[in-house]
Amino acid sequence: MEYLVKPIEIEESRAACNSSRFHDSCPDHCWGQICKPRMDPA
Amino acid sequence: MVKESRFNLFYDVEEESKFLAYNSRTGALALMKKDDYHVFQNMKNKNFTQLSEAEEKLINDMKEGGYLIDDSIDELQLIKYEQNRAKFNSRSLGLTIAPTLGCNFRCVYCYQKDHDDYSKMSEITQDHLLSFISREINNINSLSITWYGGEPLLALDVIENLSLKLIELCKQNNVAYSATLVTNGYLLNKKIVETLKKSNIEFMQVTLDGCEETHNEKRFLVGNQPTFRKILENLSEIINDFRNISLRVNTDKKNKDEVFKIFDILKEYELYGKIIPYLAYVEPINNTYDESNCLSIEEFTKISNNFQDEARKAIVNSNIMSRYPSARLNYCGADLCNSYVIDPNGNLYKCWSDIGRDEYCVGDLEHGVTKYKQILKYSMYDVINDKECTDCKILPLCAGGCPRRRVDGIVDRCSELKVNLESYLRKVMEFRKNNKTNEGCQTNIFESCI
Repeated sequence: MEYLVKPIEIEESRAACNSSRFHDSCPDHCWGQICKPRMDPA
Repeated sequence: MVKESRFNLFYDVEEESKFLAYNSRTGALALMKKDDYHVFQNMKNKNFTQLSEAEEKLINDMKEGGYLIDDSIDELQLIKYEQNRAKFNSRSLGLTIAPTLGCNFRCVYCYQKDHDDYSKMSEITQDHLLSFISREINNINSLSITWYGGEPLLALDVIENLSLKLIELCKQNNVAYSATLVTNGYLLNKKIVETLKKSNIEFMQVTLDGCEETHNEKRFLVGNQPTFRKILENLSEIINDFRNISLRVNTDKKNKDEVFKIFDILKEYELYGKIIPYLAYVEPINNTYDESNCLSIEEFTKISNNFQDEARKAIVNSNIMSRYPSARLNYCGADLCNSYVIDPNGNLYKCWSDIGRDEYCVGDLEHGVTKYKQILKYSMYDVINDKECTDCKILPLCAGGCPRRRVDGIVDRCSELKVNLESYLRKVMEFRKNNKTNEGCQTNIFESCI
């Protein structure tokens, strides 16, 4: 298996998210613009 | 013992004699040699018993991505557990606040009412709001505010007053504060932007519905006057002072053929590459818009896919990974326990589409939640009891779809990913193959936006 995306990457980005509200409920079309600021570790 | 995950998807990559393997619960994406794929199928036939050394190695590889799981695990129960954990997490408080329901626009598809009521949130209600948040402040670590309306900039003084107090309250209690704004853009200017920045608003959404004629037919002022040029002129004026703006293009049958002209319009106003346009699906919420004008999710997705590819070209260092499909633990604020929509009178709702409608009200700022009908409808839905959803291989990506559409009995509520997942994953495959580092790891999944 040649992994292109590992589950750990997704878990880490979730953990770095300030607020679960937007990351987990990001509107389909927000293009990460609403949730993106919360993906950057503070 | 192991078993195959019910959320595996395999796509043929013929030119490489491999399969692209994706798991919608874990988000794992991997290239798998066709020989290995056949070994895997053979192992399944043997119920993963009497395995050779090579087969054992493949099993371990596949377990890492969740393609194979412990056979004692019920994946549907696991999803339910993870969704409940997210839905009932009370460490974040999310509030969508309408400081007024009055609006200077009369958009043809608007699902709200009370646009003629230009009253703003009173000082008493503002105090109730501060008390409401103060009661929660020791239990949360982040407060997210979305300013909404009506047109929220008609009540800029309320936004400023509340923002300054909330920022201070959060600072005193070591709570992260963030705020966004949804505006029609007509009133934006440099002076207002100063106030927005002072109010810690870090992102705003403005709407433009296509070319001038179409936009003005859909989004006009109370007196029918056009708004197209004014919005674009305003954006040009403020763009160097406020960069985090997205441009929403509400798309239906009437403007679907011209949405791509948005890119030329942005170039004309020197906004190309500075503002990111995206298409949004128009639906007949609250029966306020003729359904025959609306696209199906499938029709919309096909247009939206091409539009996203075009939009991505405008952004330096664009990264397709920002929209990587991973498990959605809840759908939106409607199914979260700690999320509310607040109208200018201090009434609480769960969904943006519910605001101002008594039958959907769940309580008020002074007394908290007192009516549970809508809360139970939105929050207690159990996706694992929905046969259509449990048969779906991408169930983890949509969490059962929009709670409001579900409650309204709308059948067409599946995720766009049902239509475009494969093409998106193939793009990710190309992106990741071209962005490997020396260690063989890939670039950070969310390192840049878009």
